[in-house]
Amino acid sequence: MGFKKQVFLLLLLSVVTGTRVSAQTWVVPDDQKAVVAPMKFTPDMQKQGEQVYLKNCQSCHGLPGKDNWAKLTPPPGDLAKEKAQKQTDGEIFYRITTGKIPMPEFRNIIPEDDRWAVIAFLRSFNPKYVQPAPKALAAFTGRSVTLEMQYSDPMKKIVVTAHEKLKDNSNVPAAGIEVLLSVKRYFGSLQVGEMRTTNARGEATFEFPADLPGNNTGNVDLTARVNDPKSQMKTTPATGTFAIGVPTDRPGLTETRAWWSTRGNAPIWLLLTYTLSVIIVWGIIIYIVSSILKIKKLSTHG
Amino acid sequence: MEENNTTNFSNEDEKSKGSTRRNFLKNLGLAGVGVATGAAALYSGHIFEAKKEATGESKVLLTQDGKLVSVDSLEIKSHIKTGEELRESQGREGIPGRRWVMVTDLSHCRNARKCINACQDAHQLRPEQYHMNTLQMQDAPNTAPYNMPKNCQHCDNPPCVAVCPVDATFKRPDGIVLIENDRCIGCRFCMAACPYSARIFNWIEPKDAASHQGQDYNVELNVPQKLGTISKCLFSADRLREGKLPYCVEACPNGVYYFGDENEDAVTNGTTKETVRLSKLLRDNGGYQLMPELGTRPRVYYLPPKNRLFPFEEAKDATPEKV
Repeated sequence: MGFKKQVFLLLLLSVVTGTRVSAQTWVVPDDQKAVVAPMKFTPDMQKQGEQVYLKNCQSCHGLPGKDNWAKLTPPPGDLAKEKAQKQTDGEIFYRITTGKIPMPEFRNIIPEDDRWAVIAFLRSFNPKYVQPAPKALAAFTGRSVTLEMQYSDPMKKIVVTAHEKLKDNSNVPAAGIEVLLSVKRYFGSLQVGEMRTTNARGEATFEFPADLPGNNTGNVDLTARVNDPKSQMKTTPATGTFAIGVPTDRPGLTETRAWWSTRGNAPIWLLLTYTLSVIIVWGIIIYIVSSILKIKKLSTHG
Repeated sequence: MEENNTTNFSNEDEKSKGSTRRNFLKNLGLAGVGVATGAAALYSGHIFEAKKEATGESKVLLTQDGKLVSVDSLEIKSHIKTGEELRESQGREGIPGRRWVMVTDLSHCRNARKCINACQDAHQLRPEQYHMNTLQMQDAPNTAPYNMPKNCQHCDNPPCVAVCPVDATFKRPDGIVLIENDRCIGCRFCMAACPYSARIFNWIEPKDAASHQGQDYNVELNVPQKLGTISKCLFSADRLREGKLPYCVEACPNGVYYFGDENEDAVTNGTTKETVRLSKLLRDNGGYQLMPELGTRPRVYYLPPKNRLFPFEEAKDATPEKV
């Protein structure tokens, strides 16, 4: 009886603590765990991975094997240690890709090949590591979609047309394609409106916001691309420049007259006040001197 | 007759010597000779310069619009600026058509201090010198504490620039307030004028000064730092020229900073690289500026520290340096 109860309690305890721990840990889906690198890790790749690692990872994880990771909570840990190395390549890849606060999401920061290169670099610290054979890439069977973009003046809308190339090399309108429209900005591209799906004629229409600034003539550089996060299609994005933005030609911030500006751009009132005060002061001095001279003249005559 | 007078009244004459007409004319004559000599010297200098220009041999050159012209060889100057000269003129002109703006989302800052480290590395600063610092704030005893990264606000009405007596600190057309430490005389008026305490002074020899000796000065990076001059946040003007986000913005692991161009109405997050509309971001999240009542018109906006996902105490542990 007592023994059974103990076993039961132990089981219960392990279940409870197990769920508690798993709620805090970072679970990687099984299909992602099984992912293997699509290429063989080479010394060149490790070198490239080292560069990427030093730029993006070292600030928190420190140098592999040196135990000099940043003191953060939860601890980033040394990636050359067993805890990190016992993960599959797919697991590490998933974690780099998706991130989990405080670990950043590198999906849009490090290209896929570079993420694999980082893994190649990390594996170079593990002498026991044997790379699983890359799966042979199956011949590409997905759809091949080309986008075209036009601005329809009467509708005041951007019309993106998707064409699909079939196996017999004929071009047909592609329906059900998810299209994203973005406008080029200095540091990246700004998505315009929501994602649209092409209709039976292969068209997706976007309304361009009336208040979005363009350059000094109102030109904006637009890019339409297919939303294909799993890279199942071969897609060609469409780009174009249209004069549909708000023409923006604001003067430089130093062009207006200001209190803090250099002499050339000082405020008029300041220039006037200064010049007047100089004239008045000199005027008074000259007046006094001339009066003194006059008095002297009078005294010598007397 | 006059001679007799002077002998008779020799005592009085000595007193009134300075005021006789003769003496006045004598003085006037002396002054006139002085002025004439000075003018002659200036004029001969001018003639010499003119002669020097004229005696150079002339060269035949092709102008931009395809005309052949002959130019005196002494007047030929290189049109293309290089090195420090180029950097200086670029640094004064800024990047045309831009108005840089920064948005700091306080709800995301957990004091990882990556921005600070990246900034100090780039600008050759000692660990106790901050262009960008994370302050631990608590507005009232019963409100939630938060971390507040604070850098130069790059005001559109900068008090620091107004007080600089030597035009060493200046505002650029694209909004950035820079320092030219070759001109700085170390008076620290700007430090006193800045309501945000954004400026630091190199009281002692800057970090690794010996190893940076002879390095060309880069006004957009303010390196090498110079003893006895001011330094402060520069919005990483050198990176912006390359189309890259500032050092701090890029280094942040928590998505705190957005940086972009107000003219384009877009800012890009340094961590997620997501570009959003500036006006919408500020409107939807209650964006505000620091001390707007002073009329400084800062170019840095803050988003309030709402929905903080982590406690303050944790952030304290993350602070590597104790100052």
